[in-house]
Amino acid sequence: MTSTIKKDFKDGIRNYRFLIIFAGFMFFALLTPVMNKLILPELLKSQFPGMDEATMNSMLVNTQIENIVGYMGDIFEIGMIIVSFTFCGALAMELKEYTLILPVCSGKRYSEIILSKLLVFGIALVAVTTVSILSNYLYSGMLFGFETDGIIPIIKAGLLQGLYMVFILSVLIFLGTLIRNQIVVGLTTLLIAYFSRLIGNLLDINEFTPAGLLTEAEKLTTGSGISVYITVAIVLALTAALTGAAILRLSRTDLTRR
Amino acid sequence: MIKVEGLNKHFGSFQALHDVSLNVEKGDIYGFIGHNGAGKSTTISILTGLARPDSGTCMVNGKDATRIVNPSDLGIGYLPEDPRFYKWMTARENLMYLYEASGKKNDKGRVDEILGWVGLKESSNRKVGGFSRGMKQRLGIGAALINDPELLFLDEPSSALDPEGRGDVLRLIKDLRDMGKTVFFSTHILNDVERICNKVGILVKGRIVKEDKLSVIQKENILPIYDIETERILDKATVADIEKMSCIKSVQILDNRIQVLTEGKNGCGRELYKYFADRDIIVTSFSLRKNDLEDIFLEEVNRK
Repeated sequence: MTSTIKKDFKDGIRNYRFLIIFAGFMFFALLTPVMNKLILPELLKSQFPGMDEATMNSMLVNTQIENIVGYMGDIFEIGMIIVSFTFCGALAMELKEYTLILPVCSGKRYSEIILSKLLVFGIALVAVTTVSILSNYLYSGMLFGFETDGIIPIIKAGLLQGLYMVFILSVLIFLGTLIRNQIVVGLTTLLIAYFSRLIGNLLDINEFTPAGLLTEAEKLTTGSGISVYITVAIVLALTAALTGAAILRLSRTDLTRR
Repeated sequence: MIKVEGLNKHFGSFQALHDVSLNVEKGDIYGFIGHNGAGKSTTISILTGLARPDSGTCMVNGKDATRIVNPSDLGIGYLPEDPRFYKWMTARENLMYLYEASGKKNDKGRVDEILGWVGLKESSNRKVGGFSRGMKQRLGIGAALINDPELLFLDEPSSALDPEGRGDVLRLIKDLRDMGKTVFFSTHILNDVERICNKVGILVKGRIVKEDKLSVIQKENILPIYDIETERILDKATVADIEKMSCIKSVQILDNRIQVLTEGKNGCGRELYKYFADRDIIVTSFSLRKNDLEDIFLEEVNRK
Protein backbone atom coordinates (compact mmCIF):
# COMPACT_ATOMS: atom_id res chain seq x y z
CA MET A 1 0.00 0.00 0.00
CA THR A 2 2.87 2.39 0.82
CA SER A 3 4.18 2.36 -2.75
CA THR A 4 0.69 3.11 -4.11
CA ILE A 5 0.29 5.97 -1.65
CA LYS A 6 3.69 7.34 -2.70
CA LYS A 7 2.69 7.04 -6.36
CA ASP A 8 -0.63 8.85 -5.81
CA PHE A 9 1.14 11.55 -3.80
CA LYS A 10 3.56 12.08 -6.71
CA ASP A 11 0.55 12.14 -9.05
CA GLY A 12 -0.99 14.91 -6.95
CA ILE A 13 2.23 16.94 -6.99
CA ARG A 14 3.43 16.37 -10.57
CA ASN A 15 0.06 16.71 -12.25
CA TYR A 16 -0.59 19.87 -10.19
CA ARG A 17 -3.76 18.42 -8.62
CA PHE A 18 -2.79 19.62 -5.13
CA LEU A 19 -1.66 23.00 -6.43
CA ILE A 20 -4.89 23.56 -8.37
CA ILE A 21 -7.20 22.85 -5.43
CA PHE A 22 -5.01 24.80 -3.02
CA ALA A 23 -4.78 27.82 -5.34
CA GLY A 24 -8.49 27.62 -6.21
CA PHE A 25 -9.69 27.46 -2.61
CA MET A 26 -7.19 30.06 -1.37
CA PHE A 27 -8.21 32.37 -4.19
CA PHE A 28 -11.79 32.46 -2.87
CA ALA A 29 -10.66 32.48 0.76
CA LEU A 30 -8.60 35.63 0.21
CA LEU A 31 -10.66 37.28 -2.50
CA THR A 32 -14.03 37.20 -0.70
CA PRO A 33 -13.06 39.58 2.15
CA VAL A 34 -11.32 41.96 -0.26
CA MET A 35 -14.33 41.94 -2.55
CA ASN A 36 -16.70 42.63 0.32
CA LYS A 37 -14.56 45.28 1.98
CA LEU A 38 -13.14 47.22 -0.94
CA ILE A 39 -14.59 46.37 -4.32
CA LEU A 40 -18.32 45.85 -3.67
CA PRO A 41 -18.85 49.23 -1.87
CA GLU A 42 -17.14 51.04 -4.73
CA LEU A 43 -19.24 49.16 -7.27
CA LEU A 44 -22.46 50.02 -5.47
CA LYS A 45 -21.43 53.68 -5.20
CA SER A 46 -20.72 53.88 -8.89
CA GLN A 47 -23.91 52.06 -9.87
CA PHE A 48 -26.23 53.90 -7.46
CA PRO A 49 -24.75 57.39 -6.90
CA GLY A 50 -27.67 58.74 -4.88
CA MET A 51 -28.02 55.82 -2.49
CA ASP A 52 -27.91 56.71 1.22
CA GLU A 53 -25.39 55.02 3.49
CA ALA A 54 -27.92 53.02 5.52
CA THR A 55 -29.40 51.37 2.44
CA MET A 56 -25.95 50.68 1.08
CA ASN A 57 -24.80 49.10 4.35
CA SER A 58 -27.84 46.82 4.32
CA MET A 59 -26.79 45.57 0.90
CA LEU A 60 -23.16 44.96 1.84
CA VAL A 61 -21.44 42.20 3.77
CA ASN A 62 -20.21 43.88 6.92
CA THR A 63 -19.23 41.13 9.31
CA GLN A 64 -16.65 38.38 9.52
CA ILE A 65 -19.36 35.68 9.83
CA GLU A 66 -21.17 36.92 6.72
CA ASN A 67 -17.83 36.79 4.92
CA ILE A 68 -17.10 33.22 5.95
CA VAL A 69 -20.60 32.04 5.03
CA GLY A 70 -20.24 33.81 1.68
CA TYR A 71 -16.91 32.06 1.12
CA MET A 72 -18.48 28.68 1.91
CA GLY A 73 -21.22 29.41 -0.64
CA ASP A 74 -18.53 30.12 -3.22
CA ILE A 75 -16.83 26.85 -2.37
CA PHE A 76 -20.02 24.88 -2.97
CA GLU A 77 -20.77 26.65 -6.23
CA ILE A 78 -17.31 27.05 -7.76
CA GLY A 79 -14.98 25.05 -5.52
CA MET A 80 -17.03 21.96 -6.41
CA ILE A 81 -16.24 22.55 -10.07
CA ILE A 82 -12.53 22.83 -9.26
CA VAL A 83 -12.59 19.60 -7.23
CA SER A 84 -14.68 17.68 -9.77
CA PHE A 85 -12.51 18.57 -12.73
CA THR A 86 -9.23 18.17 -10.83
CA PHE A 87 -10.04 14.64 -9.69
CA CYS A 88 -12.43 13.45 -12.43
CA GLY A 89 -9.57 11.55 -14.07
CA ALA A 90 -8.25 10.00 -10.85
CA LEU A 91 -9.53 6.59 -11.91
CA ALA A 92 -11.28 7.16 -15.26
CA MET A 93 -8.03 8.34 -16.82
CA GLU A 94 -6.16 5.28 -15.55
CA LEU A 95 -8.72 3.01 -17.21
CA LYS A 96 -8.76 5.07 -20.39
CA GLU A 97 -4.96 5.13 -20.59
CA TYR A 98 -4.60 1.45 -19.55
CA THR A 99 -2.06 2.38 -16.88
CA LEU A 100 -3.56 -0.08 -14.38
CA ILE A 101 -2.69 -3.20 -16.41
CA LEU A 102 0.98 -3.47 -15.47
CA PRO A 103 0.52 -2.66 -11.74
CA VAL A 104 -2.37 -5.13 -11.46
CA CYS A 105 -0.32 -7.85 -13.16
CA SER A 106 2.63 -7.06 -10.91
CA GLY A 107 0.72 -7.46 -7.67
CA LYS A 108 -1.40 -4.38 -6.97
CA ARG A 109 -4.79 -5.23 -5.49
CA TYR A 110 -7.86 -3.44 -6.78
CA SER A 111 -8.76 -2.42 -3.23
CA GLU A 112 -5.30 -0.91 -2.74
CA ILE A 113 -5.61 1.17 -5.90
CA ILE A 114 -8.98 2.66 -4.90
CA LEU A 115 -8.26 3.13 -1.19
CA SER A 116 -4.94 4.83 -1.85
CA LYS A 117 -6.59 7.43 -4.09
CA LEU A 118 -9.32 8.05 -1.55
CA LEU A 119 -6.76 8.40 1.23
CA VAL A 120 -4.19 10.62 -0.52
CA PHE A 121 -6.58 12.92 -2.37
CA GLY A 122 -9.07 12.85 0.52
CA ILE A 123 -6.47 14.02 3.05
CA ALA A 124 -5.39 16.73 0.62
CA LEU A 125 -9.00 17.92 0.27
CA VAL A 126 -9.61 18.00 4.02
CA ALA A 127 -6.32 19.85 4.55
CA VAL A 128 -7.04 22.39 1.81
CA THR A 129 -10.62 23.11 2.93
CA THR A 130 -9.48 23.56 6.54
CA VAL A 131 -6.47 25.73 5.73
CA SER A 132 -8.52 27.81 3.30
CA ILE A 133 -11.36 28.50 5.70
CA LEU A 134 -8.84 29.38 8.41
CA SER A 135 -7.18 31.82 5.99
CA ASN A 136 -10.58 33.29 5.19
CA TYR A 137 -11.33 33.58 8.89
CA LEU A 138 -8.06 35.36 9.61
CA TYR A 139 -8.21 37.69 6.64
CA SER A 140 -11.87 38.61 7.08
CA GLY A 141 -11.18 39.09 10.81
CA MET A 142 -8.40 41.53 9.99
CA LEU A 143 -10.65 43.48 7.63
CA PHE A 144 -13.97 43.34 9.50
CA GLY A 145 -12.98 42.49 13.08
CA PHE A 146 -13.06 39.08 14.77
CA GLU A 147 -16.44 37.97 15.99
CA THR A 148 -16.63 34.17 16.06
CA ASP A 149 -16.21 32.12 19.19
CA GLY A 150 -12.52 31.27 18.57
CA ILE A 151 -11.28 29.10 15.73
CA ILE A 152 -12.93 25.84 16.81
CA PRO A 153 -16.17 26.51 14.83
CA ILE A 154 -13.99 27.43 11.86
CA ILE A 155 -11.96 24.22 12.06
CA LYS A 156 -15.19 22.26 12.49
CA ALA A 157 -16.65 23.95 9.41
CA GLY A 158 -13.48 23.21 7.44
CA LEU A 159 -13.52 19.55 8.45
CA LEU A 160 -17.21 19.18 7.55
CA GLN A 161 -16.53 20.77 4.16
CA GLY A 162 -13.54 18.46 3.77
CA LEU A 163 -15.65 15.40 4.57
CA TYR A 164 -18.18 16.52 1.97
CA MET A 165 -15.37 16.78 -0.58
CA VAL A 166 -14.19 13.26 0.34
CA PHE A 167 -17.71 12.05 -0.42
CA ILE A 168 -17.55 13.87 -3.77
CA LEU A 169 -14.17 12.19 -4.41
CA SER A 170 -15.72 8.78 -3.77
CA VAL A 171 -18.46 9.62 -6.30
CA LEU A 172 -15.78 10.62 -8.83
CA ILE A 173 -13.87 7.37 -8.25
CA PHE A 174 -16.98 5.21 -8.46
CA LEU A 175 -18.18 6.92 -11.65
CA GLY A 176 -14.64 6.49 -13.00
CA THR A 177 -15.13 2.71 -12.90
CA LEU A 178 -18.29 3.07 -15.00
CA ILE A 179 -17.35 5.84 -17.42
CA ARG A 180 -13.91 6.20 -18.99
CA ASN A 181 -14.50 9.77 -20.20
CA GLN A 182 -13.27 11.97 -17.38
CA ILE A 183 -15.23 15.06 -18.48
CA VAL A 184 -18.48 13.07 -18.33
CA VAL A 185 -17.45 11.79 -14.89
CA GLY A 186 -16.86 15.39 -13.69
CA LEU A 187 -20.12 16.73 -15.10
CA THR A 188 -22.18 13.83 -13.74
CA THR A 189 -20.67 14.34 -10.28
CA LEU A 190 -21.50 18.06 -10.38
CA LEU A 191 -25.08 17.28 -11.39
CA ILE A 192 -25.41 14.80 -8.50
CA ALA A 193 -23.98 17.35 -6.03
CA TYR A 194 -26.12 20.28 -7.15
CA PHE A 195 -29.34 18.29 -7.51
CA SER A 196 -28.95 16.50 -4.19
CA ARG A 197 -28.55 19.85 -2.42
CA LEU A 198 -31.48 21.36 -4.31
CA ILE A 199 -33.73 18.42 -3.44
CA GLY A 200 -32.46 18.45 0.15
CA ASN A 201 -33.41 22.13 0.44
CA LEU A 202 -36.78 21.75 -1.28
CA LEU A 203 -37.88 18.76 0.80
CA ASP A 204 -36.12 20.03 3.93
CA ILE A 205 -34.19 16.78 4.30
CA ASN A 206 -30.70 18.28 4.09
CA GLU A 207 -29.52 16.61 7.27
CA PHE A 208 -30.11 13.24 5.61
CA THR A 209 -28.10 14.13 2.52
CA PRO A 210 -24.35 14.75 2.17
CA ALA A 211 -25.06 18.42 1.53
CA GLY A 212 -26.28 18.58 5.13
CA LEU A 213 -22.57 18.77 6.06
CA LEU A 214 -22.33 22.10 4.26
CA THR A 215 -25.50 23.40 5.92
CA GLU A 216 -24.07 22.40 9.29
CA ALA A 217 -20.72 24.01 8.46
CA GLU A 218 -22.40 27.30 7.57
CA LYS A 219 -23.89 27.50 11.06
CA LEU A 220 -20.36 28.11 12.42
CA THR A 221 -21.23 26.68 15.82
CA THR A 222 -19.06 24.79 18.24
CA GLY A 223 -21.84 22.53 19.48
CA SER A 224 -22.76 19.27 17.80
CA GLY A 225 -26.43 18.42 17.75
CA ILE A 226 -27.63 14.91 17.05
CA SER A 227 -28.40 15.90 13.46
CA VAL A 228 -24.74 16.49 12.55
CA TYR A 229 -23.82 13.02 13.78
CA ILE A 230 -26.61 11.55 11.66
CA THR A 231 -25.36 13.46 8.60
CA VAL A 232 -21.74 12.45 9.21
CA ALA A 233 -22.77 8.82 9.68
CA ILE A 234 -24.81 8.89 6.46
CA VAL A 235 -21.94 10.46 4.51
CA LEU A 236 -19.40 7.96 5.89
CA ALA A 237 -21.73 5.07 5.05
CA LEU A 238 -22.31 6.40 1.53
CA THR A 239 -18.58 6.94 0.99
CA ALA A 240 -17.81 3.41 2.20
CA ALA A 241 -20.57 1.95 0.00
CA LEU A 242 -19.34 3.83 -3.08
CA THR A 243 -15.74 2.77 -2.37
CA GLY A 244 -16.77 -0.87 -1.98
CA ALA A 245 -18.82 -0.68 -5.18
CA ALA A 246 -15.86 0.88 -7.00
CA ILE A 247 -13.52 -1.94 -5.86
CA LEU A 248 -16.04 -4.59 -6.91
CA ARG A 249 -16.70 -2.93 -10.23
CA LEU A 250 -12.97 -2.50 -10.95
CA SER A 251 -12.24 -6.14 -10.15
CA ARG A 252 -14.86 -7.14 -12.74
CA THR A 253 -13.67 -4.72 -15.41
CA ASP A 254 -11.69 -5.97 -18.38
CA LEU A 255 -8.75 -3.58 -18.09
CA THR A 256 -7.64 -4.36 -21.63
CA ARG A 257 -11.00 -3.52 -23.27
CA ARG A 258 -10.60 -0.98 -26.10
CA MET B 1 2.85 -24.17 -17.78
CA ILE B 2 -0.30 -23.34 -19.79
CA LYS B 3 -3.14 -25.71 -20.59
CA VAL B 4 -6.20 -24.26 -22.25
CA GLU B 5 -9.26 -26.24 -23.30
CA GLY B 6 -12.40 -25.16 -25.10
CA LEU B 7 -12.02 -21.43 -24.59
CA ASN B 8 -14.92 -19.37 -25.95
CA LYS B 9 -15.43 -15.64 -25.80
CA HIS B 10 -18.14 -13.38 -27.24
CA PHE B 11 -18.25 -9.61 -27.56
CA GLY B 12 -21.97 -9.04 -28.00
CA SER B 13 -23.04 -11.19 -30.92
CA PHE B 14 -19.47 -11.50 -32.25
CA GLN B 15 -17.68 -14.70 -31.24
CA ALA B 16 -14.01 -13.79 -30.82
CA LEU B 17 -12.78 -17.24 -29.72
CA HIS B 18 -14.10 -20.65 -30.76
CA ASP B 19 -13.07 -23.63 -28.63
CA VAL B 20 -9.46 -22.53 -28.35
CA SER B 21 -7.21 -25.21 -26.88
CA LEU B 22 -3.46 -25.04 -26.52
CA ASN B 23 -0.64 -26.42 -24.46
CA VAL B 24 2.65 -24.78 -23.47
CA GLU B 25 5.39 -26.72 -21.70
CA LYS B 26 8.00 -25.31 -19.34
CA GLY B 27 10.88 -23.76 -21.29
CA ASP B 28 8.87 -23.32 -24.50
CA ILE B 29 9.07 -20.15 -26.53
CA TYR B 30 5.57 -20.38 -27.93
CA GLY B 31 4.76 -18.35 -31.02
CA PHE B 32 1.08 -17.47 -31.15
CA ILE B 33 0.43 -16.48 -34.75
CA GLY B 34 -2.57 -14.84 -36.30
CA HIS B 35 -3.73 -11.92 -38.39
CA ASN B 36 -4.70 -8.68 -36.67
CA GLY B 37 -8.13 -9.29 -35.15
CA ALA B 38 -7.74 -13.08 -35.08
CA GLY B 39 -8.20 -13.13 -31.29
CA LYS B 40 -4.59 -13.25 -30.07
CA SER B 41 -4.89 -10.35 -27.62
CA THR B 42 -8.26 -11.61 -26.38
CA THR B 43 -6.69 -15.01 -25.65
CA ILE B 44 -3.77 -13.37 -23.85
CA SER B 45 -6.13 -11.16 -21.82
CA ILE B 46 -7.88 -14.31 -20.60
CA LEU B 47 -4.63 -16.20 -19.96
CA THR B 48 -3.30 -13.30 -17.89
CA GLY B 49 -6.48 -13.14 -15.80
CA LEU B 50 -7.40 -9.67 -17.06
CA ALA B 51 -10.56 -10.85 -18.83
CA ARG B 52 -12.98 -13.71 -18.33
CA PRO B 53 -13.99 -16.25 -21.00
CA ASP B 54 -17.59 -17.30 -21.57
CA SER B 55 -16.58 -20.94 -21.19
CA GLY B 56 -13.54 -23.19 -21.13
CA THR B 57 -10.75 -24.03 -18.74
CA CYS B 58 -7.50 -22.18 -18.57
CA MET B 59 -4.72 -23.39 -16.27
CA VAL B 60 -1.75 -21.04 -16.05
CA ASN B 61 1.17 -21.78 -13.75
CA GLY B 62 -1.01 -24.38 -12.02
CA LYS B 63 -3.85 -21.93 -11.31
CA ASP B 64 -7.21 -21.47 -12.99
CA ALA B 65 -6.94 -18.10 -14.71
CA THR B 66 -10.73 -17.89 -15.02
CA ARG B 67 -11.23 -17.97 -11.26
CA ILE B 68 -8.46 -15.86 -9.76
CA VAL B 69 -9.37 -12.55 -8.08
CA ASN B 70 -6.22 -10.60 -8.91
CA PRO B 71 -4.20 -11.25 -12.10
CA SER B 72 -0.99 -11.14 -10.06
CA ASP B 73 -2.10 -14.37 -8.32
CA LEU B 74 -0.91 -16.17 -11.47
CA GLY B 75 2.71 -15.13 -10.86
CA ILE B 76 3.33 -14.19 -14.47
CA GLY B 77 4.98 -11.34 -16.34
CA TYR B 78 2.94 -9.56 -18.99
CA LEU B 79 3.88 -7.17 -21.77
CA PRO B 80 0.75 -5.69 -23.39
CA GLU B 81 0.77 -4.85 -27.10
CA ASP B 82 1.10 -1.17 -26.23
CA PRO B 83 2.57 -1.01 -22.73
CA ARG B 84 1.37 2.05 -20.83
CA PHE B 85 3.30 3.61 -18.00
CA TYR B 86 2.78 6.69 -15.86
CA LYS B 87 4.16 9.33 -18.19
CA TRP B 88 4.92 11.70 -15.34
CA MET B 89 7.15 9.15 -13.62
CA THR B 90 10.68 8.23 -14.67
CA ALA B 91 11.54 4.79 -16.03
CA ARG B 92 13.19 3.94 -12.71
CA GLU B 93 10.18 5.12 -10.68
CA ASN B 94 7.80 3.11 -12.85
CA LEU B 95 9.86 -0.07 -12.46
CA MET B 96 10.32 0.51 -8.73
CA TYR B 97 6.55 0.96 -8.35
CA LEU B 98 5.93 -2.33 -10.16
CA TYR B 99 8.67 -4.07 -8.20
CA GLU B 100 7.19 -2.94 -4.89
CA ALA B 101 3.73 -3.96 -6.12
CA SER B 102 4.56 -7.57 -5.36
CA GLY B 103 5.25 -6.67 -1.75
CA LYS B 104 9.02 -6.58 -2.12
CA LYS B 105 11.04 -3.91 -0.38
CA ASN B 106 12.66 -1.07 -2.29
CA ASP B 107 15.61 -2.65 -4.13
CA LYS B 108 17.52 -0.32 -6.41
CA GLY B 109 19.87 -3.15 -7.36
CA ARG B 110 17.15 -5.22 -9.03
CA VAL B 111 15.69 -2.19 -10.83
CA ASP B 112 19.16 -1.14 -12.05
CA GLU B 113 19.86 -4.69 -13.21
CA ILE B 114 16.66 -4.75 -15.29
CA LEU B 115 17.24 -1.24 -16.65
CA GLY B 116 20.72 -2.27 -17.72
CA TRP B 117 19.46 -5.50 -19.27
CA VAL B 118 16.88 -3.69 -21.44
CA GLY B 119 19.42 -0.99 -22.33
CA LEU B 120 17.71 1.90 -20.56
CA LYS B 121 20.17 2.62 -17.78
CA GLU B 122 21.17 5.97 -19.23
CA SER B 123 17.54 7.02 -19.66
CA SER B 124 16.44 5.69 -16.28
CA ASN B 125 15.85 9.13 -14.78
CA ARG B 126 13.95 10.48 -17.77
CA LYS B 127 10.17 10.74 -17.64
CA VAL B 128 8.51 7.98 -19.69
CA GLY B 129 6.34 10.57 -21.48
CA GLY B 130 9.38 11.45 -23.59
CA PHE B 131 10.25 7.86 -24.54
CA SER B 132 10.06 6.50 -28.09
CA ARG B 133 7.87 3.49 -28.88
CA GLY B 134 10.91 1.21 -28.90
CA MET B 135 12.10 2.47 -25.51
CA LYS B 136 8.63 1.93 -24.04
CA GLN B 137 8.61 -1.58 -25.47
CA ARG B 138 11.97 -2.36 -23.88
CA LEU B 139 10.80 -0.86 -20.60
CA GLY B 140 7.69 -3.04 -20.96
CA ILE B 141 9.83 -6.15 -21.23
CA GLY B 142 11.71 -4.98 -18.15
CA ALA B 143 8.40 -4.45 -16.35
CA ALA B 144 7.24 -7.95 -17.30
CA LEU B 145 10.44 -9.37 -15.89
CA ILE B 146 10.87 -7.17 -12.82
CA ASN B 147 9.39 -9.72 -10.42
CA ASP B 148 11.36 -12.57 -12.02
CA PRO B 149 8.40 -14.68 -13.19
CA GLU B 150 8.93 -18.09 -14.77
CA LEU B 151 6.22 -17.48 -17.36
CA LEU B 152 5.96 -14.40 -19.58
CA PHE B 153 3.22 -13.27 -21.94
CA LEU B 154 4.42 -10.92 -24.65
CA ASP B 155 1.67 -9.51 -26.84
CA GLU B 156 3.01 -8.34 -30.20
CA PRO B 157 6.29 -7.14 -28.66
CA SER B 158 7.96 -6.27 -31.95
CA SER B 159 5.10 -5.40 -34.29
CA ALA B 160 5.20 -1.60 -34.14
CA LEU B 161 8.96 -1.24 -34.09
CA ASP B 162 11.52 -0.30 -36.71
CA PRO B 163 13.99 -3.06 -37.77
CA GLU B 164 16.56 -1.97 -35.18
CA GLY B 165 13.99 -1.93 -32.37
CA ARG B 166 12.65 -5.30 -33.52
CA GLY B 167 16.12 -6.74 -33.45
CA ASP B 168 16.61 -5.43 -29.89
CA VAL B 169 13.35 -6.96 -28.70
CA LEU B 170 14.09 -10.33 -30.33
CA ARG B 171 17.53 -10.33 -28.74
CA LEU B 172 15.91 -9.79 -25.33
CA ILE B 173 13.47 -12.66 -25.93
CA LYS B 174 16.38 -14.91 -26.93
CA ASP B 175 18.04 -13.97 -23.64
CA LEU B 176 14.84 -15.00 -21.83
CA ARG B 177 15.00 -18.38 -23.56
CA ASP B 178 18.59 -18.75 -22.40
CA MET B 179 17.48 -17.93 -18.84
CA GLY B 180 15.09 -20.88 -19.01
CA LYS B 181 11.94 -18.76 -18.95
CA THR B 182 8.75 -19.89 -20.65
CA VAL B 183 7.52 -17.28 -23.11
CA PHE B 184 4.12 -17.04 -24.77
CA PHE B 185 4.70 -14.66 -27.63
CA SER B 186 1.98 -13.40 -29.97
CA THR B 187 2.77 -11.82 -33.30
CA HIS B 188 1.79 -11.57 -36.92
CA ILE B 189 5.44 -11.25 -38.00
CA LEU B 190 6.17 -14.85 -38.93
CA ASN B 191 9.85 -14.29 -39.49
CA ASP B 192 10.20 -13.41 -35.79
CA VAL B 193 8.59 -16.71 -34.82
CA GLU B 194 10.93 -18.68 -37.06
CA ARG B 195 13.88 -16.93 -35.47
CA ILE B 196 13.09 -17.56 -31.81
CA CYS B 197 10.18 -19.95 -31.18
CA ASN B 198 10.26 -23.69 -30.73
CA LYS B 199 6.50 -24.21 -30.68
CA VAL B 200 3.76 -22.58 -32.70
CA GLY B 201 0.00 -22.15 -32.51
CA ILE B 202 -1.85 -20.69 -35.48
CA LEU B 203 -5.05 -18.80 -34.73
CA VAL B 204 -7.43 -18.03 -37.59
CA LYS B 205 -10.70 -16.22 -36.94
CA GLY B 206 -10.65 -17.22 -33.29
CA ARG B 207 -9.86 -20.90 -33.93
CA ILE B 208 -6.60 -22.77 -33.39
CA VAL B 209 -5.98 -24.42 -36.74
CA LYS B 210 -2.54 -25.84 -36.07
CA GLU B 211 -0.39 -26.31 -33.00
CA ASP B 212 2.88 -28.19 -32.73
CA LYS B 213 6.64 -27.91 -32.43
CA LEU B 214 7.94 -25.63 -35.16
CA SER B 215 10.31 -28.34 -36.40
CA VAL B 216 7.42 -30.83 -36.69
CA ILE B 217 5.25 -28.37 -38.59
CA GLN B 218 8.09 -27.58 -40.95
CA LYS B 219 8.81 -31.28 -41.47
CA GLU B 220 5.15 -31.95 -42.18
CA ASN B 221 5.18 -29.26 -44.77
CA ILE B 222 8.24 -30.29 -46.73
CA LEU B 223 7.59 -29.98 -50.45
CA PRO B 224 8.64 -32.81 -52.79
CA ILE B 225 11.00 -30.49 -54.65
CA TYR B 226 14.80 -30.70 -54.81
CA ASP B 227 16.70 -27.51 -55.63
CA ILE B 228 19.99 -28.59 -57.20
CA GLU B 229 22.80 -26.30 -58.29
CA THR B 230 25.61 -27.66 -60.43
CA GLU B 231 28.97 -26.27 -61.40
CA ARG B 232 28.08 -26.23 -65.12
CA ILE B 233 24.80 -25.88 -66.96
CA LEU B 234 23.29 -29.31 -67.59
CA ASP B 235 22.67 -30.29 -71.20
CA LYS B 236 19.26 -31.33 -72.48
CA ALA B 237 20.19 -35.02 -72.68
CA THR B 238 21.13 -35.11 -68.98
CA VAL B 239 17.88 -33.40 -68.01
CA ALA B 240 15.92 -35.86 -70.14
CA ASP B 241 17.77 -38.70 -68.37
CA ILE B 242 16.76 -37.37 -64.97
CA GLU B 243 13.16 -36.99 -66.09
CA LYS B 244 13.12 -40.67 -67.04
CA MET B 245 13.86 -41.75 -63.45
CA SER B 246 10.80 -43.52 -61.97
CA CYS B 247 10.42 -41.27 -58.92
CA ILE B 248 10.66 -37.98 -60.85
CA LYS B 249 7.61 -36.07 -62.02
CA SER B 250 9.22 -33.13 -63.77
CA VAL B 251 12.42 -31.12 -64.05
CA GLN B 252 12.80 -27.39 -64.63
CA ILE B 253 16.08 -25.76 -65.70
CA LEU B 254 17.17 -22.29 -64.66
CA ASP B 255 20.78 -21.73 -65.83
CA ASN B 256 22.95 -23.98 -63.66
CA ARG B 257 20.05 -24.74 -61.30
CA ILE B 258 17.36 -27.36 -61.67
CA GLN B 259 14.15 -27.91 -59.73
CA VAL B 260 13.22 -31.56 -59.54
CA LEU B 261 9.64 -32.40 -58.57
CA THR B 262 9.47 -35.92 -57.12
CA GLU B 263 6.63 -38.35 -56.47
CA GLY B 264 6.49 -38.28 -52.69
CA LYS B 265 7.77 -36.28 -49.72
CA ASN B 266 10.58 -38.78 -49.18
CA GLY B 267 11.62 -38.10 -52.75
CA CYS B 268 14.53 -39.82 -54.39
CA GLY B 269 17.51 -37.87 -53.11
CA ARG B 270 19.70 -40.97 -52.96
CA GLU B 271 19.06 -41.78 -56.64
CA LEU B 272 19.71 -38.21 -57.70
CA TYR B 273 22.98 -38.05 -55.72
CA LYS B 274 24.10 -41.33 -57.29
CA TYR B 275 23.17 -40.13 -60.77
CA PHE B 276 25.33 -36.99 -60.47
CA ALA B 277 28.22 -38.88 -58.82
CA ASP B 278 28.26 -41.55 -61.53
CA ARG B 279 28.54 -38.87 -64.22
CA ASP B 280 31.12 -36.74 -62.42
CA ILE B 281 28.75 -33.77 -62.33
CA ILE B 282 29.86 -31.47 -59.56
CA VAL B 283 26.90 -30.47 -57.36
CA THR B 284 27.42 -27.18 -55.50
CA SER B 285 24.06 -27.16 -53.72
CA PHE B 286 21.46 -29.84 -53.04
CA SER B 287 18.42 -29.20 -50.84
CA LEU B 288 14.92 -30.42 -50.24
CA ARG B 289 12.62 -27.40 -50.32
CA LYS B 290 10.72 -26.57 -47.13
CA ASN B 291 7.62 -24.40 -46.82
CA ASP B 292 8.45 -21.41 -44.65
CA LEU B 293 6.07 -20.48 -41.87
CA GLU B 294 4.45 -17.84 -44.01
CA ASP B 295 3.48 -20.43 -46.64
CA ILE B 296 2.14 -22.74 -43.94
CA PHE B 297 0.20 -19.91 -42.30
CA LEU B 298 -1.30 -18.71 -45.58
CA GLU B 299 -2.24 -22.27 -46.51
CA GLU B 300 -4.11 -22.62 -43.19
CA VAL B 301 -5.80 -19.23 -43.59
CA ASN B 302 -6.91 -20.07 -47.12
CA ARG B 303 -8.17 -23.46 -46.02
CA LYS B 304 -10.48 -21.65 -43.55
